[in-house]
Amino acid sequence: MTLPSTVRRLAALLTVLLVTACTGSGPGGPETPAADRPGDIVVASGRDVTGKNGIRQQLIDDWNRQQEKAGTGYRARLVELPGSADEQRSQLLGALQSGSAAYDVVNLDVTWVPEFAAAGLVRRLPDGVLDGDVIKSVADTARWDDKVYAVPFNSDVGLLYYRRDHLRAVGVPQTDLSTGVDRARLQELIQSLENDPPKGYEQGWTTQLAPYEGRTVNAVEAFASATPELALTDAEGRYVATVEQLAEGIAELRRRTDPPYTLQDAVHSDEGATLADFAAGRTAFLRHWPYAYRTLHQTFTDEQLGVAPLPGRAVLGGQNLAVAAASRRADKATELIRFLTGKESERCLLDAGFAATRTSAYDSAAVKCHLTAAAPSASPTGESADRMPRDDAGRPAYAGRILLPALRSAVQRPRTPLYGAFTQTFTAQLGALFGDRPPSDAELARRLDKALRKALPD
Amino acid sequence: GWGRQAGDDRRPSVVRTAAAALLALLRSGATALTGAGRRPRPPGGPAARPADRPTARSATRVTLVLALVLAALGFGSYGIVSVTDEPSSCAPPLELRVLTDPDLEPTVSAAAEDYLTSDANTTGDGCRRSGITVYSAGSADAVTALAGQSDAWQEPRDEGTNPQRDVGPQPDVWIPATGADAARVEDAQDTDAVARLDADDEPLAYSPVVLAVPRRLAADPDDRVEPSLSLLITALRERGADAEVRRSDPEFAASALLATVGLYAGGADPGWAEQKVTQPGPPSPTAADLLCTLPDDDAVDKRAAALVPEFLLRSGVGCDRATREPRIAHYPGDVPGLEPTFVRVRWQDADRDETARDTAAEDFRTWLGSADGRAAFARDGFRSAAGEHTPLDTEGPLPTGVLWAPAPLTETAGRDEMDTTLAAYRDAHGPGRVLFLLDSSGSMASLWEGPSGGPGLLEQSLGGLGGRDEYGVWAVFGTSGDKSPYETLLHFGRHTRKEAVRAVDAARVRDAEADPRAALLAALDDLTARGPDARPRLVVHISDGEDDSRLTGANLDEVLARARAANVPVAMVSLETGACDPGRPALRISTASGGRCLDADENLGAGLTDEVARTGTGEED
Repeated sequence: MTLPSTVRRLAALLTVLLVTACTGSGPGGPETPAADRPGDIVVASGRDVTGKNGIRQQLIDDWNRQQEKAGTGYRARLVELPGSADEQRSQLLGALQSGSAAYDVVNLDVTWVPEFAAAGLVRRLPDGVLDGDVIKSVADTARWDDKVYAVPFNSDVGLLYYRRDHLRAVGVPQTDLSTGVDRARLQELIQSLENDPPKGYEQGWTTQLAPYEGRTVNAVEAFASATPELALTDAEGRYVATVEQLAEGIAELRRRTDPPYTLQDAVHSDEGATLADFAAGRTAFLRHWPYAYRTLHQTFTDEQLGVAPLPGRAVLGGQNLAVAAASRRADKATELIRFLTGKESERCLLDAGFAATRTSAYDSAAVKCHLTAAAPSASPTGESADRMPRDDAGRPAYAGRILLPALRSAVQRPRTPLYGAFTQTFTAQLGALFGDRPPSDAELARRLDKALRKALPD
Repeated sequence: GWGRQAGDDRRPSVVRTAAAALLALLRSGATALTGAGRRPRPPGGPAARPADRPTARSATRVTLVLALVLAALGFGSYGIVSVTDEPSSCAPPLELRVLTDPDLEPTVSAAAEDYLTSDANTTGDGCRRSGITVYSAGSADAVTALAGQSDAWQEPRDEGTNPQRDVGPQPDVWIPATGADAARVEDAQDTDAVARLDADDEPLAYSPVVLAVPRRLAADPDDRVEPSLSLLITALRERGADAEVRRSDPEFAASALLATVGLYAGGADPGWAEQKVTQPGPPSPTAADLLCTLPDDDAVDKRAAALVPEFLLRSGVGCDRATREPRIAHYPGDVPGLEPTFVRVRWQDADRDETARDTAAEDFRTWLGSADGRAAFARDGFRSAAGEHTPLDTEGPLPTGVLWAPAPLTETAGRDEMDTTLAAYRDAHGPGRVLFLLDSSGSMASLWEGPSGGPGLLEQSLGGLGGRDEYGVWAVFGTSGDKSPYETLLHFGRHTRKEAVRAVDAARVRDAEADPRAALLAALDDLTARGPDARPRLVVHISDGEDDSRLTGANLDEVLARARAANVPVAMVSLETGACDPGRPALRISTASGGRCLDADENLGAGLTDEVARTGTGEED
């Protein structure tokens, strides 16, 4: 494609000006004269299915108190979106594209960042918003095309939960698996349980294989475990995998979901269903997210429940905050994001059960949360009901030892502006594996390759 | 336009348009800046003329003008910047938000999936023109939100009314079960409405609402078409003394409201007519759920007829249970049929991509009307919208129990009859009594604030209660045994919503555990002691399930026994996931009482609001 030279020159000029316009000020540059007009800063965020919106609301309330005290005239307002991630994405996309609703700050799933950035729906942010304290793997979810478009708010990573009491009952000498197990050891452990099953026990483990994002997550974990350094897409989001790589990944996914080890219901299960099956004792192992740590400890004691890194590779999840391109209060919105993702806020999120995005939340004695509800202190009556094990500083007990390393070594799902088409295709094609007459690895790999090429055209 | 700006051979012209627009705006920068209070409209591309180079303007002004240009055009950096580096990949497509009726969602989703990968939605470079997300919401909620809450849908200002959270995305396209829904919205909208509808005159397809009768109770083929639903029901009862009729929730799925039109036809007293469709426990939300629920009890499956859209006799077989009683369609002449209709919804101020969005919606509309678009409706058992309403699928065999051309099929649903029927349904049981139990134990601290917190959920649901309903709120905490397991936040009686919200706002988390057993027993006793069974009653228990350990063994059995005996439904609302899974106390208690179990796996706010609304008479009274 050739463009007339004037147009090309103009495009180059625009590029320069745009970068200025979008960043407000370059690193080290002068602050833009305040273009913002005081008023409400609207934060659009999905209804939190883990039921912890409390801490997010409290952080926003805290910021508002500061603004009120300083008399700035700004006030942040949380607008809740539907619980379904598909509906959140649809509303955010449709609203930012058309202007049907006015948002200043949007909370994006990590997989949506490339799409919103590439479409120009969110602003480029100063590089400095991602300082060295943000865990590197997590910080990478906030960039697209080497530029920063978002700031990680809370992270997420796949973990392995297991029943220590069941392992003890069948004579496993070492029931602390927190240093990690590989898939082969996991299968041995499941075999010993098969020989002498606890009451109510059905199969070794369960995970999220229903046809939704959970299946994509589990499949990516299998694919990344089978082929080290596997990339389904390149840095520009173009599809680059080979049929052979897909076949290896499919073989691994098949091994992981074999009927002798995996609860049959897993094929219809989402996060809630797997949590309930594990809590009911139908399996001894469970793949789940960090928030299950708090939930499961309402049912199980420390002696009954263990948590460990997932065998093989684990997928990174989480949400990032971004500034809408059309926001009229972009500078203040950026300031709000800095606050919500700052050291103290991240510590509050960690204490409330989220996976914090900053190293300091896990290891710095100086960083504390001053909001009370994040970690209710023991009551004088002894009736307080927070059963999540905590360390001496009030963090979830497993945070530094298991959660932080898991986040550091987690893999991302493919990063592409066409993620919606990718995940829809990936989930639908892999469904054949769980049908009545599953195709061979090679055959399914060929089909998947063809479908992905159509969904992610060069 | 949006969906086609990159990777497309039209890009140069897009760049040119953007550049011309930019220059035009630079030239008139002062005008644009002084008009900053209003949202600037995109300047017309072809009409914009080239202008002088921007030499004498300050950098700040250029930056501001550029920001305005970008906002006005809806362009971010990509469409323009990418010209210089990545010429080949597809741009993220324009996203269409498609709202539909719960009964129609599987069919509309299947059609949208076909469309996404169709040639019609693919550019020459293999890129998708549009992305589509299909979702559904209760039909009464969708009508209410579009009719009277479009401003809150565009800009939610308080936690109580937020259609973005409770109904879903702001639709670009709405496919209700009947064009009458669109007429209801247009009739009720005032001049302040910010969502404007443009409904097609002709529906996309047709499916009559039928009485699906278990085969052993079916009438002779000649008697399966009758002028009225009440004649069909009377005849059914004559064939089987124990026969029952079930209907799904008229607030949720339009097919159930259409069935109710027939049920109340001929001036029947709604209270009396409702007796024909009473059932233990809450109604199924959708017709498909109803058909899947009946086989849970073999005896019920054999004796219960269901009021459902005819197309489900073909497509509604995706239930877990493989065996169920075959059902035969009986056609009532006074129940209007389903007529899915394409409605374009335009939002005020949504002018960043107006033309492109109109084109995208129009392309989808055109495709739905084509043979390819009709295929999903044909596969799922719909009939032609026009003429004799013959089945769209002319190739396959007619599903068991369905007649080829059951004449005469009824006329289109009327706007007014749907409105009056819904009002009569809500009023049929008279004012209700609700007792809210709000867990205030220490573990609720992290589930307290915001619209998803315990008090926030409770306040949202108050919209379902009107001035004639009676209700109260208890804060549940304390396990000492010698003291009461609750404290009264709002005494039982009639209240304004404001008064109730003030009382709930004053609630706080206590540093104590709670005893749900004692509180539930006390609540059931309280409501039963308040008099006649005929009035709708409900206990709502909102908690995090943290103290469920007190609901085991003999304690649980005691609550279950009382719940069964009291004949008061208990809605168990848990802010944690998985609380309504099989075997969990919340599910067992709600089931025993005939109430619903709601946990964080679903939209708690909307679910609870529906439960309370079913008991109360609604705020508009």
